[in-house]
Amino acid sequence: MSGPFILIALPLTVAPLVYLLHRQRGLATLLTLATTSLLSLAVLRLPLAEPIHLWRWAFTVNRTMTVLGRPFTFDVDQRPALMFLYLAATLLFAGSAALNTSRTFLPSGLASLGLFSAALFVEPFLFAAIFLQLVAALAVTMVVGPDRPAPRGAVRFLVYQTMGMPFILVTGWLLEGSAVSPGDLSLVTRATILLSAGFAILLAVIPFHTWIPQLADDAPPVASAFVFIVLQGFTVFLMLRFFNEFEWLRHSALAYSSLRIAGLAMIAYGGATGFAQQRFGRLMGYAIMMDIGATLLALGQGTAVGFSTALVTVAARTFGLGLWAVGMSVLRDKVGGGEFDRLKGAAWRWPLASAGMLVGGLSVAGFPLTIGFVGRWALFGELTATELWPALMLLAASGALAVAYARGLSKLLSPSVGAVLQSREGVGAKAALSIGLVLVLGLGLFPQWVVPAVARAVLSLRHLGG
Amino acid sequence: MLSWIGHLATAGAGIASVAVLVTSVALVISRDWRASLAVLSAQYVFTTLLTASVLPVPVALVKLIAGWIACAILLLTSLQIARTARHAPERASAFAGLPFRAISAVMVAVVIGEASGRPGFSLPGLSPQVNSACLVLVGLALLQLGLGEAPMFAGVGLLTLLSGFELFHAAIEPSVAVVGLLAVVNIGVALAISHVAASSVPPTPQEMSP
Repeated sequence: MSGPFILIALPLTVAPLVYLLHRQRGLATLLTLATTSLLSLAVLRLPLAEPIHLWRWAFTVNRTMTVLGRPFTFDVDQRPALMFLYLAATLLFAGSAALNTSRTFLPSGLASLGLFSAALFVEPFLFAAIFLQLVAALAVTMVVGPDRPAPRGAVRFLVYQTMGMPFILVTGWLLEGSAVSPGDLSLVTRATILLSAGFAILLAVIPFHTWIPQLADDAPPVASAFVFIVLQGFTVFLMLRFFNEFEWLRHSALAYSSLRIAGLAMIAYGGATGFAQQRFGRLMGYAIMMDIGATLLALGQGTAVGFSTALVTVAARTFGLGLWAVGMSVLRDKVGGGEFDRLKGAAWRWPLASAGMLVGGLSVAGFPLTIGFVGRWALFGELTATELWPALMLLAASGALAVAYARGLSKLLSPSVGAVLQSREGVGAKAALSIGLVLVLGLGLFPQWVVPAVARAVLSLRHLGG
Repeated sequence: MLSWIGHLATAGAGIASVAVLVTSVALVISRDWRASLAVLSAQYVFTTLLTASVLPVPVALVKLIAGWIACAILLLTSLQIARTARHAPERASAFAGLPFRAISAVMVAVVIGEASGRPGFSLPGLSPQVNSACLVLVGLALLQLGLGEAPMFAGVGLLTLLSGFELFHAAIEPSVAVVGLLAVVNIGVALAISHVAASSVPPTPQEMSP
């Protein structure tokens, strides 16, 4: 038995069982949460390559398994990435218990975790792109919700994720060539360009971004949150792994400048276009674009602080976007859409859901007092050390999104005749929203509870920790 | 029999390359799902013949099987959609936009055909015929993906794109595990597209009644 086998096979095995239980939503959710908890425990505590004594039995869990000649190895430095994946997924699965999600959300999400683990363990890790593609196919089944037509962004999302995979795979071949001919710098340059193109497509850098606002607007919010948090977060981890593994990339001015330019473009576009939105779904889509841009900008600094800031931004997105997803799900179920006008006066009938949606959205936009501001503040500090205008651009974009949310808030609070403040959310939704609000605001006020641990995760990447 | 396939692959690479071009153009032009799936299935035969020139025949056959499974998945979904389509609003005729698609496909095919003969567009490790087939598959697949977002036809475009990429990747990374994984990717894409396509169809009155 091996560690990779357990972490890959367990969720893939349990996922069909969860699907079969889709009519018993509570049981399915419990089984899913039990599995993710077990996976988290295994990542933290499972001793590898050491004898384990269980009553009369003794066995060893190996570090490596081989499938068709390809090794899958579980290393200690993969634990932070795995913990992020499992914890983020657990939060979303738990939050979905009170919501109307598709029957495929839980099983697809669980199966995705197995594939993410495979992507982390496979050697060489370039082949992670293939598993990422499989996760994208699963994610499509997740975002197609019950009782609604398929979201417009689903096909486009799959197309772009498929297009990004070949660039990553071909980079591996170029790198082998550069190892054979170390003096040939053109191979390294081509590898950098291909890698940049591949990650630009996977991370939805302009002009490959169109699926983000479509998915955020049309797909079930919790399902799209899974894509934006877990899938995109994993892609950032994969990028960090490239920087960690390849010295030429770590010292490539072209790579860092590409990241900065892409980040600034995303920030500017997300802020400017988000400002004009009249739908909460699309507004969140552009906020996510801006958040991705901030992550890329942090990575583009090329410093240990920059890498840590990128990880903190990704982690903060989990809480903010998760809270937004729960709030938006409740409102969309009750009202039938996310347009500002349709949600007029909704805050009087569903105050918790409205608050959750707004606070979550503002957190993703980097508003102060939320967890999302922590990463932004660190990024501001990093940017102003060299140039002022990128920081001003980031501030302006965040401000633009905050103004858009303020417009939405005014609609939500619009008084209707005879409106009385009452909370019509279900018990489960109330619990999820309350916990989410406490987390987003609490961690925004006291980031020292979580943020240092997240920032230290970069130390697991030996060459990036400084 | 496997050796016979290998000999056929070597001798017929040029014919297979032309057949890939014809099938790719046909996929761009066609808006009839029956014709598209039949052409796609045939295309997999020809791409497998080309793959057999860079990979062992048994490994190349894995791609054919995976491709046909993907086609079967799309076929079953299309049949289901066709049954419910009687109750759906009228869809555009299959001939709508045909001249535009045909001219675009021919233009792209000509450009790729011209470019594939130039040294800068020669993919390493591939014979000229396989090189042309790769570029044709990828180029026309991108055109097809750009011409519309209808799930089934986008799915056909994606599968064509993957075929073209796998043809090149087989030459640079002949690992059995990777070939197997990419085959699973093909099936995964077909399943995802089927799920989206099936969800895009409005329910029948029978399905809507309590």
